[in-house]
Amino acid sequence: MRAKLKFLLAALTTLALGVVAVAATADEDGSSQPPGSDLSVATAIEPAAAAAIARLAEPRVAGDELPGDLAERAEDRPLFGINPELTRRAIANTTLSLYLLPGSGHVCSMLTDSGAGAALNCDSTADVAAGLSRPATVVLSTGDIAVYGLVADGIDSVTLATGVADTAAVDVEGNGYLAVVESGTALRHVAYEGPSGQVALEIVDPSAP
Amino acid sequence: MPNLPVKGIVAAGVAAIALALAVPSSASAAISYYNCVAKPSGQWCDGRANGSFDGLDSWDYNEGWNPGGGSFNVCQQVYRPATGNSLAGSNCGTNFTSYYYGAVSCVCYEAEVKQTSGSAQNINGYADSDF
Repeated sequence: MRAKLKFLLAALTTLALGVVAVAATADEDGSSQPPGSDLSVATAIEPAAAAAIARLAEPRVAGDELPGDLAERAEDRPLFGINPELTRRAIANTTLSLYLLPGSGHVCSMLTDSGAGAALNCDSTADVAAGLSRPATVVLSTGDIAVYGLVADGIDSVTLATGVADTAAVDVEGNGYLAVVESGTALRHVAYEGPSGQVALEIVDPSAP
Repeated sequence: MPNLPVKGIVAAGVAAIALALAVPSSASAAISYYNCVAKPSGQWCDGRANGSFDGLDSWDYNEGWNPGGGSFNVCQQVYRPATGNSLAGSNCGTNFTSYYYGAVSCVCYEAEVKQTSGSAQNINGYADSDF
């Protein structure tokens, strides 16, 4: 009798643990793993990335590390094989910094905002090398909008198109570009002449309701 | 009287199951996978339509991605329904975008994603409040 009771309790406990495990890992559909989640974490900057992005070929120095706990957070979810120990800072100003995060077959960009947090976007190394890496946008802690992205070597400037017909030249620094526009500015595209010829890449207002 | 231990053990087992069923509500408050199927362009997805909505929480990381082929812009936001405002950090990128928010203490935000392809698309999201 006691053996049966022990068995019953063990079965109930196993069932309970099973319910917890299933609930904790439940996927609402079969494709819910994000892109790049199956890639191994890069242990070094890949030759293709260093060849296309000279900033990645430069020695890592103080200031290239991600600030605060961002490295830990990136390590906790290493999508695209990103390795925070390989970062390079492309652009830095008073409140914003743009970092390059090499991964496996991918290069990600992280824009940190000292008043808010950090935005992460990723492209394949092949797209960056081909001059097809697309710009990203983020609402800053000031309420303004940042437009930023990565470009391959040889691209010194991009053109930011806003409003009806406004354009502005944005210098490339460390293979990155960054522009800040006021909230409410109509965003059209980022254009440049790259390895694939002239491109005009759509940009989206992240503050649109 | 001889039945009491039996009842006690069974009750303990039932309590264990009840606890297990209760735990996911708090576990899912820390980690959330959500998605929308054939979501119209420009409409925010929080997973309510297919039961993958995990409610309000202090989400401090949110990401969205295109789970299929092709290429289009995806955006994410952490939105507070009570005020109609989003945290600074809403962002957009091609096929994938995410944001590490700073300290979020209010258990009052929805994690949402959308796509802006111009046509209906599937879109997925993940959020957590681990940090």
